[in-house]
Amino acid sequence: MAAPRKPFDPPSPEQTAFLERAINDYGRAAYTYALRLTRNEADARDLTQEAFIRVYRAWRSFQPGTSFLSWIYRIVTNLHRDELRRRKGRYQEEIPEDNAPQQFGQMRPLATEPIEELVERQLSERMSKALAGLSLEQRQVLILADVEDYSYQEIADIVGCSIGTVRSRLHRARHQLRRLVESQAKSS
Amino acid sequence: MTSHPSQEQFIDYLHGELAPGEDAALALHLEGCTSCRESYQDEVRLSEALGSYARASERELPPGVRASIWSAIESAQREPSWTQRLAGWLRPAVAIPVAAALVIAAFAGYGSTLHHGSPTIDAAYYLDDHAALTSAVPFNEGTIVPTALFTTENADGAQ
Repeated sequence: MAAPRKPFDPPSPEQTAFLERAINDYGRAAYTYALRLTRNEADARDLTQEAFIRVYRAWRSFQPGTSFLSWIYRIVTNLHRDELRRRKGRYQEEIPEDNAPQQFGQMRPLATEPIEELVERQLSERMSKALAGLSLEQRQVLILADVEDYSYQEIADIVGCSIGTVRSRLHRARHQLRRLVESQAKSS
Repeated sequence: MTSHPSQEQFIDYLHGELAPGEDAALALHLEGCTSCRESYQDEVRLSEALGSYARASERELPPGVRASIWSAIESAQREPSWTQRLAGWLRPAVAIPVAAALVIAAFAGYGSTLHHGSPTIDAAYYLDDHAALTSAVPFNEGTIVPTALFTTENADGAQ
């Protein structure tokens, strides 16, 4: 994260305490989420650091009673997107995304063995590889829906898109993930 | 629910995102349809696999990150804030000369607009004047009367 950093106004003890508590309570979750998005420890560290600096800067805009976790996820999501845009040219993330409705209802039911195998053996590495085959937008939505258990509305708020887009991305992501898992199982 | 639900409906059902009526109808359909139950279980297994991946991929915040957050904040705090920079610009030593320069520039601009509106004397006026003064018989009919002897209105009337 090499974005230019604006200087801060003088800190207050409340602001410092707010950040300290945020790191204590949500540092792990933010870092894990960043790692799942970036799939790279160095990038995840930078992203987490920058996210908490934003938290510190904008601490007054946090509304008590709302989910801090959603807020930090939104910050991490936006920072990651900005970073990818900034790197565009040097490193292009595949984003073959549109919001066209997908029809998977007529598909042949896929074999259940690969999924069962994954569950039994806890093949997180294989799943991680399969997730890497998804676009960033698909990965974001899938992680938030199936790993973090957020509702479509909450995901729409975090990612900054409509519920319809969340729904179609999730359908497409699961379809794609299933295909990737199946092809990995066949090749191994 | 008369027809079989789509795969998308299973996904939405699994995530609790169907409307209450649709949700109830799908639940009822699943009870009586073996093939749909299998399709739905397929979606459940995928979510479980993702859950296993999630548990296995959880990480602690690396110890260096906390320190680097505070370090970045402290270094940013050493730089003057934008309000402090603005206050610097508003110091009398800087603000008075800037204000004086602005006032001078404003007057210069206003003065130049005055000249644009002032009347001009036509060249024909001087030619007519010169012809009248140098004519042999002044005030004779047919000669040009020197316009300088009249007011502007009279001179216009004479011509």
